[in-house]
Amino acid sequence: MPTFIKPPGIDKKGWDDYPKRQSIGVSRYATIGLSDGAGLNVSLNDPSVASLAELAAQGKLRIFRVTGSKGGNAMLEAKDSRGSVQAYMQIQVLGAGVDTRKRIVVSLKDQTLQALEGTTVIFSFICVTGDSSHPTDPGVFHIMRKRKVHRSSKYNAQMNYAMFFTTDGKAIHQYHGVMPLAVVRTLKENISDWLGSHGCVRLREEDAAALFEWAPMSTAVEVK
Amino acid sequence: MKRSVAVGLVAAAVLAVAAIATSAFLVRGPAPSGSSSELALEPESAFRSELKVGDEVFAVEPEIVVGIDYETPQRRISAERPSPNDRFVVSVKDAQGRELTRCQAGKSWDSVLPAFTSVRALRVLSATEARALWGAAGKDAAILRVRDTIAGDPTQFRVVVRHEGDVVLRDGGGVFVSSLPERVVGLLRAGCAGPD
Repeated sequence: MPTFIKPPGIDKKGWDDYPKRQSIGVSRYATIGLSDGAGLNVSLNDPSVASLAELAAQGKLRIFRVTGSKGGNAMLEAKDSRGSVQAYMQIQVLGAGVDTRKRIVVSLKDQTLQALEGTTVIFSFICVTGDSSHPTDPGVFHIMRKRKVHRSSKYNAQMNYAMFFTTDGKAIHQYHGVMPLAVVRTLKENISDWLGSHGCVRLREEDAAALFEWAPMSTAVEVK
Repeated sequence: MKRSVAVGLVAAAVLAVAAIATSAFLVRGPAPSGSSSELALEPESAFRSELKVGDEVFAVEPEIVVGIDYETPQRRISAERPSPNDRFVVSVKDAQGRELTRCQAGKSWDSVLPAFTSVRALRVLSATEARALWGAAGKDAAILRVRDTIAGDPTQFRVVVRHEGDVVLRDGGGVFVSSLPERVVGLLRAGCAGPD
């Protein structure tokens, strides 16, 4: 008999760990597996609540990612060719009617970064963005890669807590210079744009560490 | 006029300080990993890190991964795909870069990519323990590289698989038992000789 389960070694964010209830709460996404589910058709009975994508299998597990789109409940079902349900799991997309999604907003004008859950500001940090020759482009992006310890060979510089949000390599990361970031920010604003970054968003080390812990993969990054 | 000259001089002085500070910063940080013999001689201080148990050391969207390499001094095994919708093609090359074999990745390779979705530190080795391990096994350490569509440096670790099945990664100074399953590293190492 197939069952939906929490796959080992894959992301656990969004899991409401009640395996006997076969129930999960999805804040943004959750990854689940279907054991012994070859030949079954897997779908959500209410695709307006959540969407479903099948990922690469792992061993005998078929892996799926459920992404919450709006609050509510849906049933994840695995059916055989005759339409009989062989396995099911209740999906509850959390925060019905309330946007609790995490996002990061970078203000180029104010040189600040805010981390929000819905409309609630979780963190508000000062930052330094790109100079005029290497601007941090405005737009809406998302975190595509996270790297706790990162050293850039191009700049021969430590850029820990790196969260890459563009394919041309822009990231939010730790500032590791000798001058305090607040001083660099003030000088950039008042004296010379030269002190800006090459397009990345620099944070104080402790701020970068906190943001790295808080922000899961796929978190939206809005630069404005 | 005098005022503008004075402002200019102040700005120049500030920029000079900034340049010195920046250049001082650029020479900081750990030296890049060197050859095996150099690794064996590393001082204990080279293994200090702020990694903690449970840290997500690396994560990547599987959709943007285009290649995974496993490289030893003797050979380089690469799994590459032109686009996320394609299956991986595995190639095995010798130390001179000559291709020995090439094959389509089998079904068993489907478990490789999800393993890299999120790599966590299950146990962080102390500097003493890390130095001892690297002194003994560093010469056999392979390079594990994940290439994606983001410009710049690919993600790279040095890896040692211990007898007890731990996949130990080195990332800068940090040495840790990773959440990567030994089976996945085994598949990478096997190249085209692995199961379908």
